[in-house]
Amino acid sequence: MTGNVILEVNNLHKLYRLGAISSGTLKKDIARWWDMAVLKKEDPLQKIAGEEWQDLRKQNLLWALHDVSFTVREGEVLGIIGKNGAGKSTLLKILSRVTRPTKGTVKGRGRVASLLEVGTGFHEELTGRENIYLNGNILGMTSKQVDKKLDEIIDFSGVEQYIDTPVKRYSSGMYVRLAFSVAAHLEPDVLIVDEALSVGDSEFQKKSMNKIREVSSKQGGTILFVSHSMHAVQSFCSRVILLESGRIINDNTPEKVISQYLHSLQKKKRIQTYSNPDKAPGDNNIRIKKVYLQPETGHAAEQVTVETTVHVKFEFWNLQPQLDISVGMYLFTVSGECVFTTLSDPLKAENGLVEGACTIPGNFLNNDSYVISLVFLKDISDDIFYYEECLFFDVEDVQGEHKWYGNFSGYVRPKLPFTLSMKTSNGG
Amino acid sequence: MSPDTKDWLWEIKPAGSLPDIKPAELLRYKDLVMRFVKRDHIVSYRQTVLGPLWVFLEPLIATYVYFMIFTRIFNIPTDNVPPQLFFLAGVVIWSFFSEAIGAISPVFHHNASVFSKVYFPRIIVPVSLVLSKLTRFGIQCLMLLAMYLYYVLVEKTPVRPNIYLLLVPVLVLVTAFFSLGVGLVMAALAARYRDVQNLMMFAIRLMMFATPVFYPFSLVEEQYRFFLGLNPLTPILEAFRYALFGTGNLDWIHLLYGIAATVVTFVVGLVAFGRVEQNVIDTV
Repeated sequence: MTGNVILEVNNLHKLYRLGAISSGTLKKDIARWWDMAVLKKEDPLQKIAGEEWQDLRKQNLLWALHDVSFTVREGEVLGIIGKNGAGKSTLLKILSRVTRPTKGTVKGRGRVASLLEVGTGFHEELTGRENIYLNGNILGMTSKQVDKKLDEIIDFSGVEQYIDTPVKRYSSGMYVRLAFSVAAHLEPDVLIVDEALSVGDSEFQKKSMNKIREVSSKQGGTILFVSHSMHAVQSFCSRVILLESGRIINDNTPEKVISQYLHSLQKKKRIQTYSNPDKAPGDNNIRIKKVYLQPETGHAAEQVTVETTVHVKFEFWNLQPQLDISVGMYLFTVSGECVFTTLSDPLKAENGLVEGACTIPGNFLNNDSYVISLVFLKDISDDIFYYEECLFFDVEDVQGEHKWYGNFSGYVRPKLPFTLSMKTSNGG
Repeated sequence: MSPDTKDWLWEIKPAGSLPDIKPAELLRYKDLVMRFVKRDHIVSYRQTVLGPLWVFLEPLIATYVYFMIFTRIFNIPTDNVPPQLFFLAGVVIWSFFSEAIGAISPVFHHNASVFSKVYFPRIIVPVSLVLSKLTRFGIQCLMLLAMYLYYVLVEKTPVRPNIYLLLVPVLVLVTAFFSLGVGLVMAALAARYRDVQNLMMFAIRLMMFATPVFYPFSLVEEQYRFFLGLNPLTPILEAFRYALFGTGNLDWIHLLYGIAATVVTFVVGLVAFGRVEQNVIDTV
């Protein structure tokens, strides 16, 4: 499965100036040049490299990446996860050679191409065919290579009839299909997929997913995959890197890294409170005041085991004089599978604070990480606000009397009436 | 670890102070250069009524305007060369230079979306722009040749083609490198300070007055000759006209100065562009 090292990242650093970046005025640049070249002072930007992050912050400088090192082997599907601003995009930008690191190196073999380059350099006055060549050349193919693939590309795109029409006459769907078709026929040695950037275009997402499957199933197809969907990361990746504030904080199997990531999210996610209705999540009907998780055995920070009964409690402001409201609760596994949906009875609420609770019984959930989303409905059927992924929690295993060492399969692990007894005995 | 882990194909390093130019890599991208040149030509004339005729119309209109103003109104002598021919020769070289610079200097802003997504040696864009203006210039030279033959064969004008016509390709090459050099410097400056773009385009327009486009260098007063002669385009244009018409004079030292200035400009351009290119995406 794992072949030669195809990509080696060493001590990668990237320093950014926040805000009005180095579009620095001519005056400042000249002053810096004067200090360095004429007065022989140290380069102020160079000096910074050794200092601490907090000090940098004051100077509007930020390490987008800090001492990042890893290697990728041929055939690996490496997931890169982390919160927004953790440095994922910066890392990809350096790997696709769009920008340079501040310190450190990346060495590699073979051609790196990324799906975020779809349609790059398309010119709307050019025809589909002309754009295939232009795009192919930009992505590093020679015209001969494009010649060979041309029929395949046109075929895959499904826009043959319009291939000699300027692309400005294309629908956006046709445009994306053609662009994707070129990218899909690149056959890079390392494919970079940044799913975060393609959000909102479900067709494109589906296509890129299929492409990833195809490349990864092919022997030797190496992929770097950035995504917010833990489900996708879990199902595609053979290894995952977790970035936080520009540093790698874990590099391990998908299971381990994803659970650490979710754990770090979860700390903040067993309770959410808002004191000001104007700034709270919601809409013009309702605003969330508080959602929290209350294990029956104690206070909110208590461990939840497979046997614990858990109360999901919430309070919200009703801003309308009269509102016929009901609340639905979705429970998902962290990998995105819906375990169940449940719905409250409707309430004719007056203007004011409304509270609610839903109880998940003990001996029902499996040991896994779960995510709760709430949906607020008006007049039983109109959903007015979807409070997505408002709570995260882990359910721990307990060693029961039965010495079962593996995990139980399934999303839930209910304790159901289950009898087992001797009917007749042969012994005597 | 397998033994071949040492032979890496490429390496990404922090931005250095010297431009990072790999000739082998440029060669691999030659198809892209040609593609950009082609794109420029297609895009400039698609959806225009007169299409490629503009290549001829622009210099012809300019020549006619100069003829009206400088010959008819101000009666500026043109070294005994028919004024139309004299102006056209100046106009084609000048427009090659100014159009190339106008196209190259906003390179980082015009290509920001491509540059922020995909890697290829950035120098490819300015080079392809110069090549595309060079093709245009080549086509315009055919028109110049037609007019030239008309005057020599039909009008029997005393302009004499001479051995120095062989120098023309060299002059064109020097003009191309000078344009590329100036363009690269301006692109590097404009990437950081957008107003450079406006300022420089204005400066280029003024520079035309300091270039013998619509007057012969021989007309320049002695005391200003040195100053105007500093413009590297001046000896190039003078030599071009000398080769074509056999008028004016061919000052070898001045021409060598023009070539030397071109080399310096080009190297400065490469370094400036190469330095800016490496991290420009963080600022544009």
